[in-house]
Amino acid sequence: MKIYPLLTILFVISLFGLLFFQLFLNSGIEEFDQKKLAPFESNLLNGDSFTSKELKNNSLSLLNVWATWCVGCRLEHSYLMELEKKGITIIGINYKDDKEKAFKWLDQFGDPYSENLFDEKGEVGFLLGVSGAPETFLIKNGDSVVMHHMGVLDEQVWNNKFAPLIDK
Amino acid sequence: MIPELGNFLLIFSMINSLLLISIALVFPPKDKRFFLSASLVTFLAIFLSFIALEISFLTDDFSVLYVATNSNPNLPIYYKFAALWGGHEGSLLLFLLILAGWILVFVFFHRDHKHSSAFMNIVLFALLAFTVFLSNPFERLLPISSISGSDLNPLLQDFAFTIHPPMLYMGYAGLVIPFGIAMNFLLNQEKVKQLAPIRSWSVVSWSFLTLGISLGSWWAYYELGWGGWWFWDPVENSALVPWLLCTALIHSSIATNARQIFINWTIALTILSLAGSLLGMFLVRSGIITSVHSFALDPDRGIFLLLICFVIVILGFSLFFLKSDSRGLKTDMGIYSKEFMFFINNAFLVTLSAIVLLGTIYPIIYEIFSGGDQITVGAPYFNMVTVPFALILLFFQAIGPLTKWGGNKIDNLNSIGMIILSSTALSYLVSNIFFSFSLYEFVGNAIVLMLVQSLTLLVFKSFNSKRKINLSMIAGHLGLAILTFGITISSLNSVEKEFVLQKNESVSVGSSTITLENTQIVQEDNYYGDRVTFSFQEEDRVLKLYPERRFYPASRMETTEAGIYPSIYKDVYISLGQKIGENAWAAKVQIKPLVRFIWLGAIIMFLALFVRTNIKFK
Repeated sequence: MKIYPLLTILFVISLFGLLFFQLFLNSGIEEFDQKKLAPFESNLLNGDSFTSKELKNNSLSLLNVWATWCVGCRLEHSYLMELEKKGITIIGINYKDDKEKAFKWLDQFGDPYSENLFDEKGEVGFLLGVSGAPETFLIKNGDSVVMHHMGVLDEQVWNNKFAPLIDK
Repeated sequence: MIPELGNFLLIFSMINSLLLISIALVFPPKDKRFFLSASLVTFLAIFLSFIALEISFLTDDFSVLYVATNSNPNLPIYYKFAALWGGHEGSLLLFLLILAGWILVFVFFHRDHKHSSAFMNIVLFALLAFTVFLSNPFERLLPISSISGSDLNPLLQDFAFTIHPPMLYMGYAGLVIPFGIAMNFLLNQEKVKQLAPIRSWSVVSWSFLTLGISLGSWWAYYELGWGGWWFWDPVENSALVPWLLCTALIHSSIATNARQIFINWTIALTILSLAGSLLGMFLVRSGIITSVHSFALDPDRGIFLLLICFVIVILGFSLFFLKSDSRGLKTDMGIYSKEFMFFINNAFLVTLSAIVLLGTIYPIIYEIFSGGDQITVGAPYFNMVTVPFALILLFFQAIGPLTKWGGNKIDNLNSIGMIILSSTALSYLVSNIFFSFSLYEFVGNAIVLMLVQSLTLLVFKSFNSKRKINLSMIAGHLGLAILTFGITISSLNSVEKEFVLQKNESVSVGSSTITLENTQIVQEDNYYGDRVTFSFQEEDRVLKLYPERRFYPASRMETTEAGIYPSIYKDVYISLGQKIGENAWAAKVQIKPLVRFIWLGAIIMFLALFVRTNIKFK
């Protein structure tokens, strides 16, 4: 008779144990296969033009897709400011947005970007395989994408997904 | 200011709920009104907090992060109101409101229960703490910015969606009540009579679960554009598991009330069904399984929810094994007795729910033991393993109501024999004449006929005698019969065809012809897109269908709106694929006979809640 309580507790613990285990497994570092960066050309917000060749000036740069209609971009903005202070080059891609609103945004919240592409119709986004905003790419040597993160970039994401790639 | 007030009220209700638990367990108050007033205060605080969040939504207060991510100034006001439960945090708040409401109703009607409400408040408190600390809907997005808000997921901008979650939550939250009653019974070694309210509360919970699940299925049918009504999606399954367990609980508690048997089994089922609904909540919200319903992923949330579920299950089973006694354990039941029928019912329902749960979490187990490989368990597995069980269960459902408590001789043998024989014969004929014969068609129809005949017999018998009849049971069982009929006919006799049409071109499907008549651009407040007009000609009847593809700029999502011509006999269903050229579209047509019976049956099952359980015709 005493075996049933034991069996039940054992079953419950193993079921929950599995689920807990899987949760911790999921929160680990994601693998990402390195890709070649598709070459692109675009206008900047200030009217000048920009080609992806200019990325070669830096051994490391971030491409950050943002827009004023995007709530997630507002959330990650302060962290981008921090990264910029640490000396990381961030190229903005203002995605399917309005020029006036974009300037207002940068005045109000600060400008972490060294350059800011104006991708009004999402053409650059298409070449890069962007599906929404915010998204952030880590580019090495100006020609290879070593990380593509979809969603808000915060300290936790940075430490888990980006920092290990930079130290290498 | 208003969001801060809402947050304060939420914290206040959390503390209040904790106070109720501690006072009830440490210094049980003599005055029974204590629980009533404490529950009322908790409910009011959560209600006002809910109102505060609604105000933020209706006034487009985008300084509140949750409002900014789930609403948009262009959204029609009705959807702004419903957008509150469009995301994780808000839907939790709705759940809390409903749970606090149920507890209040329970305490109002059952003031003689010493600790029931304390146990219910343990669940309420845990979820309140989860909301306040890890999923707070009142979090601000500061400094206040110029952003115009994101959008409610366009798939959710829909009438069925706005009432689907509340109904489902009424059901999920309702399962907390039987748990509380059972725990109080164990703790205080109460009389078996104290378990009686479990029956009506499990019926309440079951009805709302039925309605909620079927609304979800109806929504998926016309909104997702695939033409199916059940996908064995992890989220659907995690609602189906508690539904099956709750169905078992209803029957088990009927036996407990009538014969004082299955007592421990009823108690165990209250724990299992609550665990099932909390585990479902975990599966949906932790992002551990990906599905169309998934909320934003956050491992911390998942761990906390899993912990809540774990604690409740351990608490329940510890009390169960320490305190349950042998009352009602020895049951003499002949195989022709009602007791035995209830036993079969429970054994099959619990097995079915275990099968569905296993299929749902199997990908997780597989991923762990295979070192990261991923598989999905799809509809073929579920159909293969559940359909035979369900058919046997339905067979016993036809016989069960005709048996008697403690019956040891074959009662009603003639009627049962006649029902089985005539149903099989009739179904054999019908399947041969109207449909191309198939085994499932034959078995499915035979069982539906048996169900209907046995219910009719019951009603006639009560007309001719002074026997009481349970109309609620009749409605529930009849609804299931109609639903089964709809499933059998529509899944075995659907016709579908994919095609590409230019303007004014036609294609024939079976005996009917489909023509692409017209394409036009549609423009609304919150979306724009293409609408294509198809005509569907069948004999001398011409139907018009208007499927659409929509683009929602605020959330930049594209959706398909199926063009559906609904009728009780059959649905004609056209969904648009890709635009091929200037005026050409790829599309898919599906003709689904009797598919409406599925939801008609579900509505009748829901109505079981509102009819009397004891009625005499004479």
